[in-house]
Amino acid sequence: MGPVAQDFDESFKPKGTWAFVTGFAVMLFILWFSVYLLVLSRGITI
Amino acid sequence: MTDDTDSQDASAQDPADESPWPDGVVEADETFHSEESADPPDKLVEPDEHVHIDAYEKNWIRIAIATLILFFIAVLFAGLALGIQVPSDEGRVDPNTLAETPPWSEPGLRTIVEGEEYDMYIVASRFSFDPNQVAVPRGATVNIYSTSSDVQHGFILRDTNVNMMVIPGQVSKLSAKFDKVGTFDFVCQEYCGLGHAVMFGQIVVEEPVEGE
Repeated sequence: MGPVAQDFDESFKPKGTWAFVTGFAVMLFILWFSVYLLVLSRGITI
Repeated sequence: MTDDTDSQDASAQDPADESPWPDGVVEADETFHSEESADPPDKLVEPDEHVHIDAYEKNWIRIAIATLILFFIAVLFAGLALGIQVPSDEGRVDPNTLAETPPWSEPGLRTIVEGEEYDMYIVASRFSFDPNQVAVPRGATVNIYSTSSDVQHGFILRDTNVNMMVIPGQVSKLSAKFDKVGTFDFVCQEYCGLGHAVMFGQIVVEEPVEGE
């Protein structure tokens, strides 16, 4: 019989999840602040 | 017979066998407090172990909270420090008697300070604005008051933050300062009927006339 697979790997790093969530957060910031800066550029409404 | 009965009663009251269950059935507490457990029952589970949060999750909770705080501060800065406000409710007016109620009986531009500040009263009704064109000098601040004589309309002024609902019975107000010469189109952005698409007007910003 071959080696038995372990249930988990203690050295596992969720790099895919990091990349996905980081990309999501960066996109959220870009979209939010693009609208925010557009509103600021249009001037005051008092 | 009597002796047998006595012996059965004596065995039923034997203190070594108080369990009401048949042989082989143990109570739940006996299982939980089995002899295999090295720790006393009251120390089997520490309370803190119930709320364990993974380190990754903790970090993302912190980032989410920091993002909300950042957005909240940005909105406060725009609203309080820069003066970008949402439309305010300036009062009530009866839409059925709008034509007889000043200043709505004569909508249009009124000068507050020549060349600097103006009040603009605009009535929306299917399917036009009254007035649908006004002219102001560059640098002027225009206080726009609007209401509707029939159904719900909208008023959005292109390239500015002026964007408000025009509601029958309510006066909405927003102010804008026009620092650039040009034509600013405004349209109804709330679907009000078949003629909604032709409901528009303009604010024309002109160079101030010398001497005024």
